[in-house]
Amino acid sequence: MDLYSWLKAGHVFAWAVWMAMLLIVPVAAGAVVGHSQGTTVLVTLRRLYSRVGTPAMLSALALGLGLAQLTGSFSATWLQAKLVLVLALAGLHGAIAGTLRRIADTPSEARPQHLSRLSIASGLALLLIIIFAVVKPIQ
Amino acid sequence: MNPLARLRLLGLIEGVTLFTLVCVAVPLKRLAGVSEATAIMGPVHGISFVAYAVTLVEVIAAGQLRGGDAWRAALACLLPFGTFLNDRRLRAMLAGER
Repeated sequence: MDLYSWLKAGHVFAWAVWMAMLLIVPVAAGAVVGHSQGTTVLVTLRRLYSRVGTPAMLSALALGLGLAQLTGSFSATWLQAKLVLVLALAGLHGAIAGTLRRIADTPSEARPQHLSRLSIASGLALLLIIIFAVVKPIQ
Repeated sequence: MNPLARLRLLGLIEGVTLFTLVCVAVPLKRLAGVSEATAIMGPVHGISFVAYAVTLVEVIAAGQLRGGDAWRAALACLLPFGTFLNDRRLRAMLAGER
């Protein structure tokens, strides 16, 4: 099997893990805020997010850059648009990580709706990224 | 690792990769025709830049950096070698946390 296929398989796997963390952890964290065992669960979710989600994000980015370099598609408009959205998604990842830390440290100041908003924004960015990557509406 | 300490480490990595890209890889490409150096260092610097930016957002969202310090850390990664200049401030903040 060629290098391209291995890079693509790794990219899709890392992407899937990253998206799972980005979409599930904030919702789960928002659901346990205020519960008696909430703080313990929040700390576990925060650790899961930073130990699995962040490496998955960096792997997805690195493998994606490798794929783009291998295929020489950096000049394609759809890829440039996708890259802008990926950077926005990376920013949302950081915002969720920081919010999880703040909620775990000071549960009394927790605003679960803020996490839900970040998760919805991540879902919308994901939808647009998939459209740019698969449909390629602009070449 | 404390996100602020991680931001400091990533800032130094970002600065070192930029230095290597600009002062080693680009001259190698322009003067000796070795394009592999930029092909490797370009993405490495790109990833370290994104890692710094994501950690910066995390630190701001966690409330560890506010106001002028946040702007200063954001500007640092946009200016050449700015993260080296901002390192002293982050080191002082970490020392204050201990």
